[in-house]
Amino acid sequence: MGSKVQFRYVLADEKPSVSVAMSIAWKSLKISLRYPFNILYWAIVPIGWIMPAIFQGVALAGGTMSAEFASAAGTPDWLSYMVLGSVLYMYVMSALWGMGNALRWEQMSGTLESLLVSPISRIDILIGAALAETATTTLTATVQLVILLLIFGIPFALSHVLPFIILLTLMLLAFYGFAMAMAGIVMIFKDPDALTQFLDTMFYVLIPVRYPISELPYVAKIISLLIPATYALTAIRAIILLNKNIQAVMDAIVILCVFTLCLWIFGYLTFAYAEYRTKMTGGTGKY
Amino acid sequence: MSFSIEVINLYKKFVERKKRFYIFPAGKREVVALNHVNLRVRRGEIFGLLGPNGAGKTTLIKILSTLILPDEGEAYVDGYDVVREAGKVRSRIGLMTGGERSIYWKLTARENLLFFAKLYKLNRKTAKERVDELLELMGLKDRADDKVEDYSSGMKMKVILAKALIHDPPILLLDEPTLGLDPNFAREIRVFIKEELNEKGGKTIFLTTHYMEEADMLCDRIALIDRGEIIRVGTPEELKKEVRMQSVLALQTLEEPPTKELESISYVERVVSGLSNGKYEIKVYAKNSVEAAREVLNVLNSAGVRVISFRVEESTLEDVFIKYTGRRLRDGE
Repeated sequence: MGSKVQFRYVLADEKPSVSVAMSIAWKSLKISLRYPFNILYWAIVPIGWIMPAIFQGVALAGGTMSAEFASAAGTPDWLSYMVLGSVLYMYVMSALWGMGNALRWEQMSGTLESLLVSPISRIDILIGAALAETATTTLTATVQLVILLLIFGIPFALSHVLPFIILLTLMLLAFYGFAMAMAGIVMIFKDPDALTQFLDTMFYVLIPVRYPISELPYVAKIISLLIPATYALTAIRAIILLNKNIQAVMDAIVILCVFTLCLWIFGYLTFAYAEYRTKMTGGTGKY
Repeated sequence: MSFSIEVINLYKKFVERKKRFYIFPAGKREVVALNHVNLRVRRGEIFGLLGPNGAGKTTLIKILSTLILPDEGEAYVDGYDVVREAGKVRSRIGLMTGGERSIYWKLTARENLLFFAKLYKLNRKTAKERVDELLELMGLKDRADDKVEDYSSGMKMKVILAKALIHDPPILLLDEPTLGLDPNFAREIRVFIKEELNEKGGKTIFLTTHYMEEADMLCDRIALIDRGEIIRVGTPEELKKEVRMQSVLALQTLEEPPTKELESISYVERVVSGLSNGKYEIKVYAKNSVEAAREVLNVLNSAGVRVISFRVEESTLEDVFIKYTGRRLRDGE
C-alpha cells in the first residue's frame, strides 16, 4: 500500500460464484416470504395496473383490434401488444431497481457491512439481489399473462417460449449492468426514490410499452434506440404477435449482447468506484 | 516475531460537508479520526483499544476489516495488506459489531448461520456441522429454529458472535462487544471471549471498548486512544503502575469545586471534575494521600463547598487515561 490509497487497489475482486449469488437471492426471497401479504401483492395487484388501460382501449377502439394501430405497430392486436409491453416493463423496472433497492434495504437493516466483510465478489451481492427481484417479477408476470390469456386470448404459443426466454434473458442481463451503476449511485446518495421515479417515467415514455416508437418525436426516438428494452420488446412482439422466427430477430440479439457487454463494464466500474468512494468517506453502513 | 495485526503510520480524515437549507454548500469540517497510528498485535493475545466515543476506535477496526479505506499508512492483518489484499484479509477475520442489527431478524439463528457459512464458502456438510457446533457452544440449540426477532438482546448478540466464528477465523475483531448489554450478560460474554475463544480457541482478539473494567479484565495488552492518537500501550498492570505512585482522592460535592485552588496545593498533581446527576464528581491525583486529603478538604471548606462523599481509590485504567489526556473516558460521550 502506498502513501495514498488508489481506486485500482479496490478494483480487485473475489471470483464470482453462482452458488453464492443464488444463496443471496434465496435469502432475500425467504425474508420476503416471511411477510405473507407480499405474495398477495405480487400475484394480484399488478393485474390492477393494466386493467384500466385495457378497458379504456376497448372503449376507444370498440374492441381489441384496431386498423389504425396496425399501420403503426404492424399488428392490429393492440391489447396483446400492450399486455406484452406491460409484462416486459415490469422486468425492466425490477432489473433496474432490484439491486439498488436490495442494497438500500441491507443498508437500512444494518446487514450490508456483514455482506461486504465476507470474502465474496461484489457481483454476487448484486446479482443475488437482482435474481430475487426477477423471481418475484416472474411470479407476477406469469399470473398476469395467464389471467390475460384466459380473458383476452393473447396468442402465446409454446413455440414462442424459447425465443421469448432468450430475448428476455438478454434484456435482463443488459439491464443488470445498468443496475450495477444505479446500485452504486444508491450506495453514495442513499435514497433512490427520486431517481427511481425519474427513470421510471422516462423509460415508460421512451420505450415501446404501450405504443411503437414511431409515434415518438424524433429526438425521443433516437434516445429510445439507446435503451436495450426497445430492441427486446420489438423483437419479442415480432415473434409472438407477428409469428417471426428467431433468425428474423438476430440483429436484436446481437445488439442486446453488445449492450450487455458495454453496460456490464460501465456498471461494474461505476459500482466499484461508488464502493471506493463510500469506503473513503466511511459511508458504507450509514443510511 | 510475526504479528497478527500490524498498523503503520495509519492516517484517516473525514470531511463533513455542511449544507444550508439542506441543499446549498456551507463549508466543511475536517475530523482527523486516526492520526498516524502505529500498533502491533501479537498472535494469540487479546488486545484492547480503550478510549471514549469518537476517539477513532471504530474507524481503526473498520479499516482492519476492509470496510473503510485509510488515507495514508499501512495496515496488515495476518500478514495481508488491508487495501491490496482485502479478500484474503476478509477470509481471516471474524467481525462482530456492537449493534444487534448485523444479522437478519426475519430468519432463524440456524438460517442466518447457514447463510453466512455459504458466504464463507463452507460446503453444505461442513456448514451444517459447524452451525450445530456453534449453536451448542452458544447455548442456542433449543431456540435455533426460532426467528431472531423473537430473541432477547443477549441471544441476538450470541448469534452475531456465532456468525463471526462461522469460518473459524484466526483473528476476531470485536467492536464494543458488550455495548448495551445488561451487566450479567456482558460478564458472560467477557468470560466466553477470554476462556473459550482466546484460551481454548487460541484466537487473536482485537477489541474496542470504552469500558475500562472490560479492558482490564479481558486484555493482555491495551492501547489508550484519544482523538485519533495512541497515547499509551502496555499491559493493564504496566499502565496502572504509571499512576500507582499517585493517590487518587474521589469526592462528591454539591457545589462546583474551585479546581484552580485545588491544583495549587503542593501535593496535588491534577484535578478532574464533572457534573453527574446533579452532583460534582472530583478526582484529585496527589503524591501524598494524607496530606493532600487534609489540604483538599480545607480548601473546599473555606470555599463553602459541601462534601457528600470522600474516599481514597485504587488506581484504574481511567486514571491512566486522565493522566495523559486530562479527560475521563466518558467525557467523549
